[in-house]
Amino acid sequence: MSAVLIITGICMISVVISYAAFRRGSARSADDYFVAGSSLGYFVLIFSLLSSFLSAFSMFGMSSLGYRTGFGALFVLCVNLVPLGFLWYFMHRKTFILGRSRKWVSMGAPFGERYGNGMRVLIPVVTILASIPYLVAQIQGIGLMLEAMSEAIIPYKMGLLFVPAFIAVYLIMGGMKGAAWVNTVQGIFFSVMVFVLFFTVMMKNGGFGPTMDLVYERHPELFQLGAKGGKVWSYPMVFGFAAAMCLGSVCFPQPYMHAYSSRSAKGFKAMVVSFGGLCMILVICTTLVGIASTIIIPGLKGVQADKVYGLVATAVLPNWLAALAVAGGFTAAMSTVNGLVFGNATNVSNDLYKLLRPSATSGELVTVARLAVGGIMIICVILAWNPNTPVAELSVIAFGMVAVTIFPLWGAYFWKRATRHAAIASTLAGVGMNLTFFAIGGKSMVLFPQASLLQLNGFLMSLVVAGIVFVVGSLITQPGDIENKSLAIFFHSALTRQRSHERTDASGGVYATAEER
Amino acid sequence: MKEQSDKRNGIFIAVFIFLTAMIWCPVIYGRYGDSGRIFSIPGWAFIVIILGIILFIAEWIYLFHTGLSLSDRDLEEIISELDQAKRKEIKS
Repeated sequence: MSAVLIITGICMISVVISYAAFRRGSARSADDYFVAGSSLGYFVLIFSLLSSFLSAFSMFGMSSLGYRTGFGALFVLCVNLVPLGFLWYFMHRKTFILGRSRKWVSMGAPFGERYGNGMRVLIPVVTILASIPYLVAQIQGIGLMLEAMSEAIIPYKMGLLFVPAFIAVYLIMGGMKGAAWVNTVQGIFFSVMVFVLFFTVMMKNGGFGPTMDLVYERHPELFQLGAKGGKVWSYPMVFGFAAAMCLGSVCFPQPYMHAYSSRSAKGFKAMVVSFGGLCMILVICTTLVGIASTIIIPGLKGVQADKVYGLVATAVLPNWLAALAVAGGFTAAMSTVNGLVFGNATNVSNDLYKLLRPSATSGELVTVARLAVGGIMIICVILAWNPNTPVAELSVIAFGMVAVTIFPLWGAYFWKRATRHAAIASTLAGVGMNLTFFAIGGKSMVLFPQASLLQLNGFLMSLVVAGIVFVVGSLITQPGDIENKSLAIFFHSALTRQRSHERTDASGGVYATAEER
Repeated sequence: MKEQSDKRNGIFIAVFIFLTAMIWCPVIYGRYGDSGRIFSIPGWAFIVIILGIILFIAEWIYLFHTGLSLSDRDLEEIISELDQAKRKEIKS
């Protein structure tokens, strides 16, 4: 019963926060609704980005992965995400600056201005196709969690209606500012609960060192690379997971939305650099909880191992605190749904609808986005209705499908020779290959190294091919009027000049900036 | 001065790429099978965590303490120049 109260409390608090954002005018204009009037400070940006990315998988999935496969899991969603600090900065610096100058609010905007309407349509379509299976998996997870936590007081299907309805309400009401504030509160909540569980689990056997000694005694294979005859955490497997997860994160809607919403350059930089550091700390904790659980709840296999986070919470914490710890995973799932649904709804309104109706007013765009939030939620709930639907399986290719847009994005900002034909061909080739690999070999072909693919996984092979198509395609096709015209904006001298180090005073002398002094 | 900035930028980018390669693949510091332990965790896991911390610190220094990255004062100036360009574009 306490679990039902906790879940209801979380939903109600989320709606109240969003209502507060609404009352403060977060949905007054399109700019306010979609990018919070570019007013978010660094604290909200950091936690909002973190929680919109970290799904229930980062807790339940990672503790299960640690339980089953050991320390190699540190290369998945943990340390491997630290490079996002500089990758996001370099890839999205111009998104941030040009977004503010050109009033961009959606993912398709930079692609549309650089490559024309073909890419402006393709990007949101690819993103929504990739996001829906991922969202379905999250919503199914929410339904199953709710059923388990409430001991079937809230059945799976009621949970499917209950939570997405709350999410839709606060997204429709509060827009980006509401979503960011809710994400921040949820992010702080689940971070605290991860630490509480981590320290309690470690104290159960006398501290971190003694716990790890016990695990090593019983399961030395969890401490190995290339365990089980080189099958588990081989070098190609480590590289495949680490690179795929990190590169996939560069192109999701969340970094665009948060870059547009940042109040300052300082906030933007703090957000991109903090993400990897916080992921490393939090997800190392959940992975170590899974590893330590092998001696607290031994013998879990397959799907049972996926429940280890909740089971160990129940074993080491009082009931009410265990319910709060599991509710942390629930809020992580909710905040990921927030981020993805809002990002896609923004794209639908500003990239697709606005293309059909260029004269659409600001109010009309907000209305369309609100309808899109409702529409995406309804589609996801319908697809998630059967908990065994195979749609969620497709979520493993979400990262791969979105990641192939990294080349058109790089070309837009850094390569004057990039052409729209190459951008479209590269995106279609990459998405097509991801889908083909999934159709041929299922998720193992997408995620695990294949001898037939030069020991790369399907994801990385698709990425390599998309890159080759982009470069070769750009070299053999000619930039058209749109690309040539866009150079004046995307390669404006103001964007590339090094400013902070030299400034010339009236007499022509060079002096250091205040920042340097 | 410009060359010096470019050089420093290049050094940081090289460091970022090197550390990323190390973090994404433990081939240099981790071997298959049993490995020694440091602070109770596998030696290679300890090293990758340390590399992650070093990369995080290097990114932080690059973004906030070198003057090589975008600052708020730069942003204002860039936006004003871009706005001027936009006005010219509209006129033409």
